[in-house]
Amino acid sequence: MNYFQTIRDAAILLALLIIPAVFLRANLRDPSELSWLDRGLLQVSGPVQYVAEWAADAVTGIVEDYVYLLDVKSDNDHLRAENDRLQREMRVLRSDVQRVRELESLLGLRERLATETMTARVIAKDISPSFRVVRLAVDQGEHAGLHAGMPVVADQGLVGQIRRVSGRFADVLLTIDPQSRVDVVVGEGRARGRIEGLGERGRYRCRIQFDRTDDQVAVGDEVFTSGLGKKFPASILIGYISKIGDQEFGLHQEGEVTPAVDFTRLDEVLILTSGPKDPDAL
Amino acid sequence: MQGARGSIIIVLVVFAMLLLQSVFSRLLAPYPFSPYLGLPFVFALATAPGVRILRGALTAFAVGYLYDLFTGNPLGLHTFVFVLGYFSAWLVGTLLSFRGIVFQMVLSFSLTLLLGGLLELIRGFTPGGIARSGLTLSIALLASALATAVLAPILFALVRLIDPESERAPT
Repeated sequence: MNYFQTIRDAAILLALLIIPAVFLRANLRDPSELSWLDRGLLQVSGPVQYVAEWAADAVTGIVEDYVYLLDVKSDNDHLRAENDRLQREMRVLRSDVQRVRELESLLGLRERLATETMTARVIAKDISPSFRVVRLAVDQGEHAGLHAGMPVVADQGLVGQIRRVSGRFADVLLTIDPQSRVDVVVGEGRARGRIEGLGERGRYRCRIQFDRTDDQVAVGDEVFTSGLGKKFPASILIGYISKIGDQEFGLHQEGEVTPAVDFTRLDEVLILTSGPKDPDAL
Repeated sequence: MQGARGSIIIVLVVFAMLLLQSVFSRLLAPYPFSPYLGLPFVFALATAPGVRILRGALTAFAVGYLYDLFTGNPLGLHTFVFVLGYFSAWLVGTLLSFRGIVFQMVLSFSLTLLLGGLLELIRGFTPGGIARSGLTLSIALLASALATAVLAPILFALVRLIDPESERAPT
């Protein structure tokens, strides 16, 4: 290395130390105290610095966006799992709310009935090919003191009666079963009669036979238990008249009753375990 | 030309490390153990027998300028400190003959501590600069210097890998 090269290198090295120091000094000074040299340096360095920072920001932005997207994917997975869990919990809560409503309704019914009752849960439903419930089983049986013939009600009305008791379970004979017979009164005229299930597999219907042919009844009239025979307490809603037969001929006036109870939606029922105390409870 | 290529690659590697450090700062540089990743590169070049002082100083200048761009500090702050750090390390390397991992770690620790202190001192004069208490500042400087010293042997080795010419004694 010759003398000239040594001097040049030394000058460059000195410049490498002095240039940033000078720029730093200009940047650190209060803008109001800048000298003409500082202002000149800042004017020269400004555009260069701007372009360099823009390029650095652009590269950093790309990398940060990529990392951000990775985080978004991870967040999405986490949120999806959280959403699934919340949906499951919501379904359970909705089911619980429905059950609480049914129990509240049954509690209200129990208080209105003013008779000894027992809550039972529906544990089995036999479904017809037309998706109609034709038989129910409940989770109370012999051990709970149940026996055949005890009325079974829901908050909408009469469900039927206990048909058979075995151990911890009991079968319920629905009002729509052909073997079911209940003495009833209809409408404001208190027309008397009895209903029996039609046992149709495609629809819920009962046949009603009135004691007299001249009773004034109409479609839509409410049908209640009469309390006759002490089998069912009086005034439990059974359903509504949906059809009236020909009144001019025959010994009896007949019609059809649509049950008030929706057998497909039954989850909880009340079993009346003692005789009626207040016939006008419902 | 080999040396210039090595310097360019070193600047690019420091650039990549700065990017990673800024993006994954919480993971890679948990406060206060935030290493100055660029300084060991500068020290490695300064103490390497095969690196001409002019090339090393220019590389330190470029690395310092990159730091200024990324850290949002006043232009010239890191550039000045890195070039000064290069000359300091070069002087130490000239005065001391032994090398090795302990030398790399001690050199990195002591110079990072001094240069970090100088950075904070200059920042103190910056209008609107963040003022920190003496204890907080001391802990941050020590932790940062320690983190840099721990990583120094790896970064020194990386420089040798990138720039094999740096280990060859001048002819």
